[in-house]
Amino acid sequence: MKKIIYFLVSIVTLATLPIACVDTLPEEVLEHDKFYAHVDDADKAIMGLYGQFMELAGQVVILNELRADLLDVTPYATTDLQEINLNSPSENNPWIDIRKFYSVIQTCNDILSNFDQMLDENRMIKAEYDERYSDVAALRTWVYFQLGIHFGKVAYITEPIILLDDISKAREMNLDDLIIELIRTMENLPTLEDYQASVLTQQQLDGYSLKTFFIPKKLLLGDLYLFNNDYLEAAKMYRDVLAFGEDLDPTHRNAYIKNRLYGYTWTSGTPDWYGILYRDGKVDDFEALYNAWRLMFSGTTTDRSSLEEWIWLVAYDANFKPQYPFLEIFNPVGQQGGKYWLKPSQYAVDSVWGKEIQKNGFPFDARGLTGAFENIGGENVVTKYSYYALAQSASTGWPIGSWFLYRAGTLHLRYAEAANRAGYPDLAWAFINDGLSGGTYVFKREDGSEYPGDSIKITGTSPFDPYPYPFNFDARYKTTPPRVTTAWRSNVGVRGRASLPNIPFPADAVTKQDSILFMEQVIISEAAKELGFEGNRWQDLLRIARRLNKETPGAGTTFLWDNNIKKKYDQAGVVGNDLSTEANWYLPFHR
Amino acid sequence: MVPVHAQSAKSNTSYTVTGIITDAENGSALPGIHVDIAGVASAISEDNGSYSIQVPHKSALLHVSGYGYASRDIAVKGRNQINIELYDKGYKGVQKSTYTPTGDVSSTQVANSWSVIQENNILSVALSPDVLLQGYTTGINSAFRSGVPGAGVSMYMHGFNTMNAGSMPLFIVDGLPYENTQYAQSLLGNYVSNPLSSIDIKDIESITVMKDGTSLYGVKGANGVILIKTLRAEHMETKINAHVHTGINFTTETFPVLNGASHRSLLSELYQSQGFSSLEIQALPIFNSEIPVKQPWGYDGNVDYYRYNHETNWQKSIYDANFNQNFYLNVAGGDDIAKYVLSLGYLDQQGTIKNTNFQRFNTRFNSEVKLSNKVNFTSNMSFVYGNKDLVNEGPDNKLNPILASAIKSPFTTSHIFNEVGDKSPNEEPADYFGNSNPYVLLNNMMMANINYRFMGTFALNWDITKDINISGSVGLNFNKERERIFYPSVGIDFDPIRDNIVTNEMKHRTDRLFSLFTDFHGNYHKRLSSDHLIDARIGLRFQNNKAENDFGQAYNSSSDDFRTIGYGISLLRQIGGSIGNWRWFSLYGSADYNYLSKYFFNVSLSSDASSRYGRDAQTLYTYPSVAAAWLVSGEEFMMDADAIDLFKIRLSYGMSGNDDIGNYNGMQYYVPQNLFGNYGLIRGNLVNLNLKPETVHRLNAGFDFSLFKDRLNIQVDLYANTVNDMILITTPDKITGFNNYISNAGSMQNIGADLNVSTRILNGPVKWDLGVMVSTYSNKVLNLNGEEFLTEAAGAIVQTKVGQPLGVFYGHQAKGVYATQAEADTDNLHVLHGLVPVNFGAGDMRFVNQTTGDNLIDDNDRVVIGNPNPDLFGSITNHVKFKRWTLNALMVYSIGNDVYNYTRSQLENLSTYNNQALSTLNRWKYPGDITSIPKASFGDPMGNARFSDRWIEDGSYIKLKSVTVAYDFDFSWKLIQNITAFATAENLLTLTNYKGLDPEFAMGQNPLYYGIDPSVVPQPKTVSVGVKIEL
Repeated sequence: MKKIIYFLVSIVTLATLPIACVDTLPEEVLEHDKFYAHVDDADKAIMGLYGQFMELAGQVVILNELRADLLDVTPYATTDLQEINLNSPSENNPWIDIRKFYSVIQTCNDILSNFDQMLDENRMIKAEYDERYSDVAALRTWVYFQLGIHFGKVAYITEPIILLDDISKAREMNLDDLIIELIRTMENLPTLEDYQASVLTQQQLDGYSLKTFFIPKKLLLGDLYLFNNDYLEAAKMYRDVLAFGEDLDPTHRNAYIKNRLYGYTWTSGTPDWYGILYRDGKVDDFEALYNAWRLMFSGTTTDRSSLEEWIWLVAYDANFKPQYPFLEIFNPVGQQGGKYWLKPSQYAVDSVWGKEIQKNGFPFDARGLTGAFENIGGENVVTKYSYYALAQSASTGWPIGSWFLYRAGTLHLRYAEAANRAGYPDLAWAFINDGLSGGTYVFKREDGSEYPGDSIKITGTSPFDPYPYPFNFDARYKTTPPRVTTAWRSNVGVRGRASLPNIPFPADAVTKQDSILFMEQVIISEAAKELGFEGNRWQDLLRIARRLNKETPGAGTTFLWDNNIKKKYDQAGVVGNDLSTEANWYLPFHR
Repeated sequence: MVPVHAQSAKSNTSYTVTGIITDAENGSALPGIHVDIAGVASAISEDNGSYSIQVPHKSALLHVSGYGYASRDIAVKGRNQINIELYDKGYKGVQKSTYTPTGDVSSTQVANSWSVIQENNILSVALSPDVLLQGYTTGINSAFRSGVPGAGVSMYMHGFNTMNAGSMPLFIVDGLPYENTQYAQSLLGNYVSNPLSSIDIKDIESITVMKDGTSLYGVKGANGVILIKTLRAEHMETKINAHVHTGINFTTETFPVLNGASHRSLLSELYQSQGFSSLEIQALPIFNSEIPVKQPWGYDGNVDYYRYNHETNWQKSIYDANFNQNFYLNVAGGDDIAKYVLSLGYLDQQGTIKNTNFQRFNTRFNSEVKLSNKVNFTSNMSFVYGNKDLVNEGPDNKLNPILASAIKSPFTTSHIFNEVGDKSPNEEPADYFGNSNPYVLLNNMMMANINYRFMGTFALNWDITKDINISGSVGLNFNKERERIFYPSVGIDFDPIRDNIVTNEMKHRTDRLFSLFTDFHGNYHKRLSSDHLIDARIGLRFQNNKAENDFGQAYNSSSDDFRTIGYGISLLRQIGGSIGNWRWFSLYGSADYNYLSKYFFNVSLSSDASSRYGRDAQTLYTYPSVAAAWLVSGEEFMMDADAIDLFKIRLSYGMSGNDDIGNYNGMQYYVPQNLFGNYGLIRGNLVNLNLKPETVHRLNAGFDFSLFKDRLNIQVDLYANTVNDMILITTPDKITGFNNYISNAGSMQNIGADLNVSTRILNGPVKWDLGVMVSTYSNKVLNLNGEEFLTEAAGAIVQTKVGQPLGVFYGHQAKGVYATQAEADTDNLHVLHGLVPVNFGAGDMRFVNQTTGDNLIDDNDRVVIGNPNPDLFGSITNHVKFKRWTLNALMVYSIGNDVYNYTRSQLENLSTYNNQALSTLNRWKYPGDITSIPKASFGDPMGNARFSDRWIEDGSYIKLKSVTVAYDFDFSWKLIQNITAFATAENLLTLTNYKGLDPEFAMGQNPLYYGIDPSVVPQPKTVSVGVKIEL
């Protein structure tokens, strides 16, 4: 019996030992507890987040462009794309699947809650925390904003869903409330500045600079203010970014002229700025035409001129996932995997870009034909996304393509819109037309003579009455002593850069409000031509339409549907889902 | 009468039983036969066959055994006089010695539904024990995966017991558990690594199939447990067995396909359907029949004329009659201290497809050493080296030679012919249509799988007292598998990778499993009085497993002579792999209680921990089982029922688990996410911290009968299994950001019956034993958490839905072909091309529109079109013995199962330039044609070839698996004790209506793929002759 007892005791002892060590450590994946130990892990999390974010490009661009007026389907298009084109997607349409958006949101939530914990436990110092936290929270805000403008509502959740039950923490929120919530989130961020100290922006990744890779937080907040019709606040945010480098002297060329839409007279060689150029100013000579404007769509992330234009540019490498989605969508069949699903709408070709006449009388807008699209073998093909691939070089750091998220042109248009509504239609006019270096702010004395060169070209009602911040700009340039060289001296404006003539205020614009409403239409139409296919169109149309509807019920609907999107369907001879009621503007939100 | 001993504890009821033991065949008296009552009394029969034994009471059980005879258990039932007939050892009655987890016992005393397989494997030409499981036991629905040597068998015990977790039974080889599951995906199309091919069938002494009572193996036992016991030295004298056989595989049948002329005519139709004019078609090099004529400037006429004017039988060209050979030797012997068995085997089995083979070298050393009177040490070690040259058997028209040769146009040829018709030694590249050159797929490519496996168990057993012993053992299972694949530059049309042209392709993979197992247990074996016997065990075991898989893929080496991945260009190189670690711990116990040798009880229990459980799940999950059996024939009231030798009722209920639920699904983890050439980390899963193993509840009722002096034996089992906590991969709310959520939300049930009848029909000079095994089950999904799953494989869609069996075929119903446009117009059905409706016309399939209210044929019109589960399956065995001749024949069958014929869907789709089946001559061509095959239309715009009941066939078959004739020579030399010569034919005859090459196949191990024929190599007809020599 004693032996039996010994035996039982030893069994029990032996039994308890291995239970404790039955758990294994995974080597294939990283267990939750082992992550977020150090600031390097924080950077790994941010890299993972942006890698995941890059997978949204296709969906974001398709939803913003194909639902609007500039993009149309070809006969090759999949049924899913045809449904998006007609604004009548079925439930399983992958283009309206919110899952990828929420993958990014949930990754953000997970990162943010872990960052908080890291800060609490001193695994990250406040300065490291501030810029990383703000970046991630801003990216989440951007994704929610995109969901909001397409679906009209979101399930809003800022805590990570770790367990299935956590979904109950999500609140359904309509677009109006969402915008306010998002603004509040952005206003409360630790910082709105770009990364200052992160290794991510200091170094290159496989030849790619990440300087323009992360979300510009001020511009996002500006866009949110603008969407919320909070024009002054929006203008401030935009002005902050426009002010970049203003206090530097011209020797800091990069910084000094960044975001300026500047232009010079082109004589020879490859110009290092973007614009529709005619050699030696020979604007009447078609042979002298050089579309240097489109070079911005093939500059690498380390290219100097590219950094002057691009504020948010996400490059894709051919050898690494995530895969660049646009070559398949837009390229002619067979060319670099092209399926030619989508093409410029006939309406955009004929009536948006086609109606423009350049300063020299050439009847097209070179930002359209030869810029955003080309005619290849009799078919119009969107080429904005394929210039990289055509210029493909074997050197590392050369993208197969990029996701065009924010650039100086976008900023000009948005700022102009905010300034216009804030009561400065003239300033908006200058931004859209021939720029601050144009004739708008050349003031004259009562006797008709001009003020001296060092006092004119300061935005204001006179040289002595400059506009207040954020509407103050200095574009002075005087070569005789005392010399004055200011940051805005070469700003040529959006249309100026495209070699297009100014659009005068109409004679019937009597009141300032008339001018504002007129200018708003000009800006939004200019946005189509400048930013076409870059994924801004739906947001722009929706923003204006909502604004107009609030002022005059129905005016926005007429704007969105009758004046813009319906024209695409009419021209293509199809019947799209009727967007003439506001409720129809939004896609169904299938959870 | 020689009373050997009689225990003192004689009760008042004890009395003497006498009788005569005779040979059941010729009635001669048998001397020297043992008659025992375990632990109570024992006797040996005298020269006249008479015996006498003191039995303790009227319910005692006599165990009768003797050399050369099959042992029997006979209930006394109060009789005084019992005459006993014994059958020869080869007789497969119900009563056998059964190898159980706790030792060998007589099958009469087993309360569970366990079948035991004890064949005379030394004569078998089969290379691994899978064969035995297919033919010699009920309840396992098994099918050879393919005819490639060593491909293995997929086995489902008592229906399907899982949907997403591991589905194969657990093997316990000499006490060492090993999971027959795929740790990593092979790079070879449809190849599943088969651990059983590492065990030589001739090394196997006994196999026990545990269909219930698997609770003892806790979370590993859900799919049933198969115990394998390898050879052991029975006697001290040295015995040597040698086995040699050699055989030939015959070439197999082929699909009837179009000849060159018919294929041209089909091509012409296809080109016409795309708007080519007849002049344009005639100008194509495959049609142009102008013989090239040399001119000063080059050639006039079609320079490709000699390329496209052949009549090649591509399918015949891939098969060849091939040889196989096998040498085997075992030596057994020892002394009273140590006993050992050493075996060596060499196998070279060539496949029926050219250049495929399986070579194996295996060695085994089993020993048993008595360290002292109370302590002994046993070890079982085996080392196996296997080398397979394989072919792709996946549903891949470019790389699977069976498909590639079937769709290859007969007018093409394997080698280049020049303008004047001279043949070059160089192979043709992929042809005009992009189809591979099958010659190249067999001769110039490489697809090798090499494995090394070491398995060893070492056990120390200590008898502490007469009743108690403890035992500790350590087991090691180490397997390394390497794969090398090379596809050459000529002959295959590769798809480009990221816009890069691929010239050749090479892949390597290494897969390594290291599994360490320890087991420590104590046994208590006590006969309390003559009436009560207790046999109990308690133990614990721990297993630590580590599996690692690494692969690399590279492309475009400078020459086909450079076949390793190092030579591929760096830009396109791809690497990957996985590492899995998992651990299993269990505390287990079992107790058998036997009262009066009539009432048998078994309780077993295992409490298991596993690293795979979710963090919030219980640490231990406990799986109990109980079984009871009543030997009714042992009761006194059966005394007069002379015809009934044995009647036993069994009832069992038990639970088992399945922890093959993914190594890390129960923990929250992060996975790498690319960012340029670097990695970030993102969330990897929507974790279910409560993830727990699946639970299978098994209820089993069984009846065993032996009638007419054991000449008719019947075993019936009825069972109902319920799978609870079944792992489902469901779609969570999209706002989680994840596609999948793994939970225990499902349940499923199997209800079935097994019948095993074995009978000795002739018992004279000619002995004929016939065995019939019939199994049936019905599988039903009970709960899927409100979801419904569609799974796609090889173009088939299978549906899993509550109330239906798992994975039924789900597609369109087709009702023939529209003969005329008018017929089509009457139905007025259409499909959508984009958003544009296009109507069906004459010559298109007439699909059934299931959704009323629209005239659209789309996914909503799919219904269940077939059930892959058989109504009945089983086997028929025959064993005939006449003098020194024996004949064994095994037939297996499956009735009522539906099969998706992928190959036919490729050979009758009429929508590509591929060659088609002969049946397509009957395709619709002109208005009014009444046929079941639609018109040829390139690209299949109407979806005539979509997944529909066109491709579903009745897969019933009966197959003559093997026939063996053996002759036992009468040798009385000193050296050679016995020589047996034999001849075996395998797969001689298959009766089936199935139009594929072989109705027996399997795609992977997932039960959802059951019934999908991805076009595997058919099992060859083989004839072998061999000899067994006993020294």
